[in-house]
Amino acid sequence: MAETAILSPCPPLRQASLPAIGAPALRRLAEALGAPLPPPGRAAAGEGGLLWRAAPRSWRWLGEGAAPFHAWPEAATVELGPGLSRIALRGPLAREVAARAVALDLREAAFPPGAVATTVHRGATVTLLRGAEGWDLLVPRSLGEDFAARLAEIAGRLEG
Amino acid sequence: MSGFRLRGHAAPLVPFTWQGRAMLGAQGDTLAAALLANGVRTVGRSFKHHRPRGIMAAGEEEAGALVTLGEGARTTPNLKPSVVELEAGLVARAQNCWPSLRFDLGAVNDRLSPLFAAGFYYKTFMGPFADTRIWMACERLIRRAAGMGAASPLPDPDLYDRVHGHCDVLVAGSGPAGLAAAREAADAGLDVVVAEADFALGGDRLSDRDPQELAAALAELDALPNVRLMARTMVFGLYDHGVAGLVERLPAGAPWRERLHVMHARKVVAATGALQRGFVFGDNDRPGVMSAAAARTYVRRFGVAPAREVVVAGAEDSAYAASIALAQAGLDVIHLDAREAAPPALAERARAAGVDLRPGWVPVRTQGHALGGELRGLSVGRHLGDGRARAETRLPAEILAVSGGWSPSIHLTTQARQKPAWSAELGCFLPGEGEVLSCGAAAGVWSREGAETSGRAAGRLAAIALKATRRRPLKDADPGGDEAPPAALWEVRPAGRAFHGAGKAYVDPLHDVTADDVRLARQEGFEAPEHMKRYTTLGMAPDQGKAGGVIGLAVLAVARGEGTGSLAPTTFRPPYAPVSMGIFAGPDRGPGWAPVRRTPFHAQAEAAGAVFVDAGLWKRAWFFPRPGEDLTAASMREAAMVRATVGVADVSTLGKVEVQGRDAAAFLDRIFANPMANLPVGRARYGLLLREDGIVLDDGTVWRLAGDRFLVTCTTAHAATTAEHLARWRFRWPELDATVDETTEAWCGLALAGPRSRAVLEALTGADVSDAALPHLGVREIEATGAPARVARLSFSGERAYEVMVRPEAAAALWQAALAAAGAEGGGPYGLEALDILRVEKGHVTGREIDGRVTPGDLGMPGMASRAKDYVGRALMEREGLLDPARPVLIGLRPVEPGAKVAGGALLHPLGAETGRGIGHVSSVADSPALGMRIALGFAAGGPARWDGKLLMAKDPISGRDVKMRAGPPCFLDPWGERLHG
Repeated sequence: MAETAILSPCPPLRQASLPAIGAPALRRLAEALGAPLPPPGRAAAGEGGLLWRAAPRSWRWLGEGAAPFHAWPEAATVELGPGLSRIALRGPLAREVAARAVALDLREAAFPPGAVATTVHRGATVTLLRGAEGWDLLVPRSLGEDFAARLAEIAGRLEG
Repeated sequence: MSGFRLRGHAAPLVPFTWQGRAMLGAQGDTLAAALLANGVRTVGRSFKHHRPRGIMAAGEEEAGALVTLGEGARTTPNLKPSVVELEAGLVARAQNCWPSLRFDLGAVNDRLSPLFAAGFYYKTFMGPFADTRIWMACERLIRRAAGMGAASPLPDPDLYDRVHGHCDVLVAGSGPAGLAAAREAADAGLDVVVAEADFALGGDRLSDRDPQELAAALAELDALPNVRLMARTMVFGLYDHGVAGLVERLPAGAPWRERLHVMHARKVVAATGALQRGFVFGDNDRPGVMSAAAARTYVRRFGVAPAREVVVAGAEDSAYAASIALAQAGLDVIHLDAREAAPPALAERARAAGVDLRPGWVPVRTQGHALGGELRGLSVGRHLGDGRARAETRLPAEILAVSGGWSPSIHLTTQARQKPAWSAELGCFLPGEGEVLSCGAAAGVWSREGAETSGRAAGRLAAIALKATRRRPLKDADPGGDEAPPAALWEVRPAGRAFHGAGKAYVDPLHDVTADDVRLARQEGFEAPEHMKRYTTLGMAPDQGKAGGVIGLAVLAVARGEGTGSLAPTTFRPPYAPVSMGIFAGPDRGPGWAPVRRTPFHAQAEAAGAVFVDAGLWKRAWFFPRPGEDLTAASMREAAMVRATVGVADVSTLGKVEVQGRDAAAFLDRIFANPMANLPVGRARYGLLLREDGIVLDDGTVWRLAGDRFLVTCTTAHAATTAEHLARWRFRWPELDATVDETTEAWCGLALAGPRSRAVLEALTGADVSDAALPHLGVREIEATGAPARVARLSFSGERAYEVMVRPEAAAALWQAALAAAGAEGGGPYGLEALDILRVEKGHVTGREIDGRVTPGDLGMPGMASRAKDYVGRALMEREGLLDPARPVLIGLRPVEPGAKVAGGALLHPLGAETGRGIGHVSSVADSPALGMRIALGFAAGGPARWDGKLLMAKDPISGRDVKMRAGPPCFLDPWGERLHG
């Protein structure tokens, strides 16, 4: 089946929050990342991971590489990855499958590669990322098996 | 002669079955077209009066014939044959008739119809028979006699898809206006979806004599990358924030039967056309009476002549288009125009086509065949004005094609709360202005050219609104466009005699509502359209005002002595036309109707023989039976094992929230009812959370991991609510430096409970977990089975106990090691049922007690609510009603007879006063191995202070079982907590 929904453990996902994030803090984070910070709804690639703003005062780093949050020693950090599973949607119909999971605007212009959004699927908070290879859905670990099976079934039906 | 296929209509044949008879239709037919082509005139029986009905329309406004499609589990009743696409093998049958369509015993209702006038059913609620057995028996008969078809009682075998879609502009309808709007918006670079309910795109253009022009226009549009043309897709509802509900019928062989598109559109254009309405006259519902537009559609689009002898009765210009089309097809056409003067140009064209034109004439009453009731002629007379006419002569006719005017299809705009406005000039309601743009006939623009102009203007406006163009708005077409104004004709009433002798005059044939019913409703005080609608059922259910909504309003207005248009139509509700219930369920049905949550220990528990129970979405290990054990035996053994040695339970489902920051302690102090700021590092504390209204939201524990880092645990049932509560209040106090992050699934945990639990913990951690190193309510971050772990000494069972949390990837190792160590101590796993027994024995509460109605005082914990600080819920907790000493308070209950089995939910009554709602209820029960009886927790007015030692009767109204119980404090075991220290 070319169309797949592959379940795997979520890579490390670290979140750092500050009570207030001003320009100096953002500058330090960008320096630690080695790249400009992404605008809301977009992720920026760093060494071994992706960085995005999850909330006005929270940023997340997904990946095995060292998080750039060393730039913010005062931040409250929390590791969220162990509580999540990753469902990788691949193939030409991946967008169609994703459109059955989330209510987001997944058209090319609205959700290009590099886009990221947190939304809801079947009552659970999920994060959707679009990379060069396809779409990744980060879902609560307890629901990963169920969600992946449902999406694989949809993919199978779409493929006919 | 009845209907037949016209020569020159070449299309592949499609076999289908009607009433068990094999028939042939043509590809591209609707079922209605195929039935007409096969000479079928009577298609069904009506809702209430069981009158014979035929095809009355060529679209969703069909009000005569409803049919049932399919067989067995795929039976679908109440479908309009005028919109059912003919497919090979289709099986259809008439409904609402017995024993046969031709001879229906229910037709006696027509004779008894004076008994079944408007409000008949409601009137049966009154009078001497109301609420009696006689009424109940009659009510069953009434229900059996009424109704529309019968749904299959079998599970639906089909699957339904649900997908979210987005577009810039959603165009509902693919007629001339819709296609023009789509093109204009697409040319501005917008992403456009055109949704068409019909299985063919084109709307009114499908009846053009030259189909090539439409095909070329569609091909051109389809070639644009930013346009999606969706046939068989109905926009059935508009909802908030530009969300539209679209249902798409999928072709046979598709993996789904239908698809629900939840379409998020930035702009919606309603190009939904208009519905031709008739007018009311005697017996205007016979098989053979149809709309003039429908007659034209059957001839032009489907190549089907509905009959040879046709009378067209119109009150406006478009009826001429029908007459001309029918005459050009070789049919014999007499055209009655209610207006004194026919529009000259149209009249000339009609006469040239061979139409026998009679201006100033109207139908008064139809005549039908004696047996089947099908139309065979009609009495006509000169229109004397205001709908009055005297029958003067009789015309033979097999088809009476009627046009009283057009009603723009304003359903979508009214769903969007755009108030319609009456146009006296056009004799119809025009859509109100607002976010949804209307164009074409939906905006009252009748001509083809006008519709296209109107569509382009709407497309341009959409592009301007979405900032896709800087061009100016286009000049819109004015509503109207007819050669001569329409006659305001709603009802033809015989002059000079009582109307009652002139046959039934239907306003809404779908619901058998007559003009007299409308007048009766008004006479009985139901004068407002909303009231009249409900009293008569006019325009309700599948019709939603399509068939007779406007005529009904006009008849009511006249009855009230007011001008037509003085009454606003009722709000049309989604769906625009009936849709399958299946699309709303979508894939959420059967075993997969809700998602399943599994803990990281699930596979290990399963391997250990666990039986699982649904706890919310979670699958939780319920009990671990040994051979021959049932739930009770296994759970009692497990509970006893915990009290004797040690048990291991999966507690991963507990909610977990991490609170960090310089002000984390202050934040928690404001959130919890009991103090948290003074909690030392390395210690845990029981905590009580209140809602803003002073009611207990949840309970849990707070672990202080560091000076600025806390872990809050809460119950499984309230995990999400509690996390949301904390997050919400965090944002209400921006001055606090604190973060709130739910980490429920980032950690999983086991409870080790029992006198030998410390030995198990030692085996897991290899650390010093002595009472000195880890006292009761102590917290440590150490390693367990080589993985980082958070350990707290907490007890829900009343025994020495620990909670060990690790990352999910370490779950398997922790489980194996814990069970091995517990086994070495004579212990083993225990499930949710044993956990419940243990906590009931101790009088600890869960969601069954924290049920959204109780205060700390009700739970027997008034002291938990601090008086020394402020916190969420404090102010409203001190309301008089919540401090009432007579409120139900938590109590413990033991049966007087040890073997008695009280049920959860039983009502508690003082002995001798065992009626009514009682003084409280049983909330939890447990078969306690420690006490050798079924004990219970419950709430009783006044609590232990009033009832300690007294007898109460627990009455279970469901099983009818009464159990005499002795009340006492809620804690049954070890009231001083000595076992906590093992």
